Amino acid sequence: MLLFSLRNLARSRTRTLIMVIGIGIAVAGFIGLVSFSHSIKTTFHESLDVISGIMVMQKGAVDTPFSFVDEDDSAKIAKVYGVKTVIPQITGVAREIDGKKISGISFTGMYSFLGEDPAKAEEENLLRQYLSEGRYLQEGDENAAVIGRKIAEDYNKRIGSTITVNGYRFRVVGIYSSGIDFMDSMIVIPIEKARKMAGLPKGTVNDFYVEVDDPKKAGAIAGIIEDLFPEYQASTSQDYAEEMGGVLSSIDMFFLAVAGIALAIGGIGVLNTMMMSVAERKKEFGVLRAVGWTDDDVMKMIIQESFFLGLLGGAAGMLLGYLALAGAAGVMPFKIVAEPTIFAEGLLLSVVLGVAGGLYPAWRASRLEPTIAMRD
Amino acid sequence: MIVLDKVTKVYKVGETEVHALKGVSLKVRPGDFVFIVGPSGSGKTTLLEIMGGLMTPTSGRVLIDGKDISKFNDWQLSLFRRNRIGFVFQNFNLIPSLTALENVLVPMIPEGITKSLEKRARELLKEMGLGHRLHHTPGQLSGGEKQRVAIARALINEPLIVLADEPTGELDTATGAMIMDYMRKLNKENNLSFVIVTHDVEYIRKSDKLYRIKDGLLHHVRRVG
Ligand SMILES: Nc1ncnc2c1ncn2[C@@H]1O[C@H](COP(=O)(O)OP(=O)(O)OP(=O)(O)O)[C@@H](O)[C@H]1O
Ligand SMILES: [Mg+2]
Repeated sequence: MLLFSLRNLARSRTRTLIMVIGIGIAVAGFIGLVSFSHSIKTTFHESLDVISGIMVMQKGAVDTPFSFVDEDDSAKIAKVYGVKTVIPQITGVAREIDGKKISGISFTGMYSFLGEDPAKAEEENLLRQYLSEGRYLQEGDENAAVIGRKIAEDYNKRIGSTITVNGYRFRVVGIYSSGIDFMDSMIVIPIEKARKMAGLPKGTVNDFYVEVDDPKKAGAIAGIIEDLFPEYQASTSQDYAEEMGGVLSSIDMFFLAVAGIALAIGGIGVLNTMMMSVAERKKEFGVLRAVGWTDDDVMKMIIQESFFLGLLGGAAGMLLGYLALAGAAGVMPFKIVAEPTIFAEGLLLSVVLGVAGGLYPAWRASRLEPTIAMRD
Repeated sequence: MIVLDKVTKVYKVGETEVHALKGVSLKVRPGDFVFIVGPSGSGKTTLLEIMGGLMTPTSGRVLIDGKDISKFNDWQLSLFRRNRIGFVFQNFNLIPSLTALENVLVPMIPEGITKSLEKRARELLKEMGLGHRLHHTPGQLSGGEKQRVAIARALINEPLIVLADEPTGELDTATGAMIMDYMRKLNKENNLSFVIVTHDVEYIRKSDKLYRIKDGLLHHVRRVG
């Protein structure tokens, strides 16, 4: 009977092919979207793992450029038990690099500058640990810059190259690489230059980046800092994770909904194909019944056919999904993770879809009277 | 032996009732070669359908080797057809996607195709003079060849009786005569019963049993012609 089912599919080759491609696209959509949403989450969590310290900003500020804190407080925060270093920072958007305007927020993210005290930069800090070439800022630096790998790649910079940011010239002395694109899109420069670029008065910076001795205690230390300085908010990567969690799960829901719609359309497609194919073969089912097939036998055969339709569609979907993800990997700003389990799920869903879409047509066919074999 | 005892069939179409069979009694013994003739709409096909277990009568009994199938349910009737009945249709009713050999085996697919079944199918086709057409699909066969494949299919389950509804209806006279000869041969050699509905009276011989059906009533005809 297996062979017979396959023959029946082979009979209307074009229709079977169109259906297989249709299901294939639905399954590929599912695989692609789920992998996509996984990738976004993975990238986000990886970045959080990289940031182990505490960000201290003005209370209520939406982002660092809109936060203003008193530079003198850094010494006070440094005295809090468990704090390793406090790095006052001035940040801003690089609107222009090497004289070329950077328009809005591009798909590949945006570039920013980060001012740090060259004297303090000797100490252990976040970006310094990712230094891959050259040196970090050091005391006496005025026009030195340490740039992220992404910027080095995008603007073809090496140690010794000059780079112009918002009209200020710097010499590249070091390149760091954390492996995460948006982290590697910063230009670290001496804080006094950054102050000029950001137009901040003396004694004011945007935020403090606080490194702690034990990252596990970061939450507790952040709480102490907030108690001591009610005008500041201190956030750990954990806090960001919680804040982002909601956003991420809505992205997840959205992707799942789209994938679900794609799959539903696939299922309706199977239903439609099988209904058509059953309607065309009414007389044949009558003959099968007349020569001794039971209603269950007929039903079994049609479910087998739609099972194969689902299986073939699933295989096509895995292939298409793989190609789509491989294509996206080159274009997207984050790493694409394609887990084998998602492919397996796609195949399984496709088979379930196939069988589900075949149930009703199979039932209809099994209800046909055997006497139609004798009549027209 | 097959016995029909006062069989009636009433079709209901909306409000109106069609009395297709009005009390038909008939005996078919092993080795009988039976012809049924009659005008269009007289109930010939209906009679074959009831004898072959494609449907149940409205009243009366259908005894096959003493067993009454008139009260069988759908599943029992299916198995009864599979095991005891061979059907031959006017328009062959072969499955277009399958080869001659596969078509012959179709009734046995639900039970599984064994090597010995396949051997039997090959032999049947050879016996029908189609040894060289085993792997042709119906589209590649002539009408006469198709009907011979259909006869082989009717025989694959070693039936008690073969029921044929106008088996020569779509064939020219010479080919029709050949098909009749094949059926007679099978009848003689295997003592297999046939009930054949036909319009072509020239195929009927003196030794055959002949019935005429008119307005749902069956009459035994003693003389041919
Ligand atoms: N499914 C049905 N529903 C209603 N009436 C039917 C049905 N099948 C047959 N009939 C009627 O029953 C009567 C007998 O039909 P049947 O097909 O048995 O005749 P027949 O002798 O085989 O005719 P023909 O020589 O044209 O094939 C006819 O009047 C026909 O219209
Ligand atoms: Mg008829």
